[in-house]
Amino acid sequence: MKQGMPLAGMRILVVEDDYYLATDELQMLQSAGADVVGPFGNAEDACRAVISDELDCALVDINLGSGPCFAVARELRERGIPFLFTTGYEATVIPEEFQDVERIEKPTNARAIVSALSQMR
Amino acid sequence: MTDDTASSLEDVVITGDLAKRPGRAPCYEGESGALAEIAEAMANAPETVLQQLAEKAMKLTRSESAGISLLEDHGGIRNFRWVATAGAFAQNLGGTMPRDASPCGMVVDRNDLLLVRDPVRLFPALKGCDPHVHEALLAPLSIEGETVGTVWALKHCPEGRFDAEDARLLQSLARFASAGARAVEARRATEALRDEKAAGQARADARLTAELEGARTLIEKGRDFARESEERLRLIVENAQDYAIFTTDCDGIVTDWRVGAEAVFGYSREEITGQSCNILFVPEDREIQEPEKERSTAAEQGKATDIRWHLRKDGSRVFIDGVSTALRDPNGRLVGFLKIGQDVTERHAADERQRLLLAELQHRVRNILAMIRSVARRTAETSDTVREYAQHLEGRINAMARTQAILSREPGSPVDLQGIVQSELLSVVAQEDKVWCEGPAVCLEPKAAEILTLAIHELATNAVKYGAFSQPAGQLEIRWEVEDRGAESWLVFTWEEARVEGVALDGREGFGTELITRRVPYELGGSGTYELRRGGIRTVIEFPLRGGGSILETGAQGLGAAA
Repeated sequence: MKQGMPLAGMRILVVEDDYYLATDELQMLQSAGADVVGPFGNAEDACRAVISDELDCALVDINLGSGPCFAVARELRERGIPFLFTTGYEATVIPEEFQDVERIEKPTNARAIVSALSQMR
Repeated sequence: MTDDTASSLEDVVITGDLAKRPGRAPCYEGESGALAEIAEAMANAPETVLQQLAEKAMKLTRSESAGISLLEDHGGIRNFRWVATAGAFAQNLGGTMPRDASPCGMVVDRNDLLLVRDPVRLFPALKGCDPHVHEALLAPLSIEGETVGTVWALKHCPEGRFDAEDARLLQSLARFASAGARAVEARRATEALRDEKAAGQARADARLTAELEGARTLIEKGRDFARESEERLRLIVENAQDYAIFTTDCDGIVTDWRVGAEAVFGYSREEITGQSCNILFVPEDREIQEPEKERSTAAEQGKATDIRWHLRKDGSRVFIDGVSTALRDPNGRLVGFLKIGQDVTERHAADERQRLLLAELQHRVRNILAMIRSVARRTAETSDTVREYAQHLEGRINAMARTQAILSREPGSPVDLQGIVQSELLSVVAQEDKVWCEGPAVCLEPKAAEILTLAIHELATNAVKYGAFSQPAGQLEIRWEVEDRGAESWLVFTWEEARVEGVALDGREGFGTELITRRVPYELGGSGTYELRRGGIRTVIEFPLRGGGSILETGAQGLGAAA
């Protein structure tokens, strides 16, 4: 039934601390066929999901309420799970180790997110 | 028949006889071969041209001797000098004949070919010459139109005779001799120029010596000045408390340490002299060879900037803005480094804070735009008309704007929750006499303040439409308190309406309901209930009180770690 959708069958972790943005992303990814894990609004819950869940990729907000946070990104990197950043920050805030990660700037464009995530199969 | 003294001119000068003597066939091949060889000599060895010419003249004219005479003028005494000779007459090379008493002089005067028979009869100066000259054939040699000498060929046998072909060949060679003479002239000019140059060089050397002397004097003066400056510099260096100034050898071992360095780094001169200055670098930088890189850059480029965190003796860090300069001895050999740095830790912290705030502001602006977009979409989903949509959206954006004032207030000051409640009620023109409001001052984190403000706004708007403010008897009680629950303090906020009749929920989840029941747990880790009871709406919002009270604090920690 989800065949033919851009994210059909993909398990995607969503990390976003803002409720409205998180639910928007949830709806958007679900309507593109994705199986969403989360959304999570804090790093602890998100990291727990990274460790325990089978994930294809992740959509990660850099600011989880108290400045830039890269704990989830490190956990994902360690497990070789590809991910995207969604952020309002400039590239200068992102540490060297994550400069290669694609950044989608807020306010985000749904099509850009779906397109980038679909490359991560 | 050799009467030396009394021969007539006609007896001696017999040029006209050439036409009468039996002639031989022209020898063009021999001529062109000879000219080619002379041309080659002109190109490669101009100084041999005249000698070559003499030899070719002898060969082509089948004579016993040949040579070149050039006019000389020594203080008014004019002679012809035999500058090149070949054959039997060669032993007379360098000899001279007087200008006006020689066959050559006659050739120059006439500027024409001349054949003389036993010339000694007319020109006594030839008397001493050996071998005897029986016939002489001479052709004028001219340079740029002026006859400057002759080329001649001699017959030393009594029966020897020149013919017309010999005359033609000699004239042909004479034209080359002219060019040859010019080449020699050019050569002489070149040599003169070289001599001139040598003289000029000597003059230049003398001038240079004088200038060097002048420079030496200047340097001496400069040294005196430098000694004075050095003294002044020493005083400055020794008294500069704000600047860390020290020197090291080529390997970074401290060789000199000034009071400023002691003030900045905490080491005394005795403690650090002889130690590696690498101990002033932080471990992260030492690990990636920053001290070595800095020294090699300074050695290669003369200077290297040193703007980074450094380590004090007590282990604390100090941000230094400095420069490392290579020190060289008078021969240019590297002998060490001079390091001068200023403690700019405070300025660096201020810059860092500025950078942080700017990044945070950027983030917030983008986030707010994203949120407004989302709120607009949600408002559209729960509005039946455009008018209602516009009204709701405007109210929500206004409420979000009011929270911004709270979010950017000074860090640490508590949020006046009473003030928030009042301004939200005022915004919907609620009657204050219907409201009972009580609670302590609390310190709310920005997110909590924002959500609570929006929640109050939604509840107030709803009360105006359907609740306590829509009916004359309606009442509203708002109260909040802080409860200790284990390690955390929780805020419990209650909104309770009374004496409201005939209100029904339409079953559709509205913007306010979602905010209270879903956003509160998601973003604040608490809970929210929204229920319709007899007498009106009752809402309880509770969440743990956490963290800082302003966006000016938010992120400072996280960004510092990221940088």
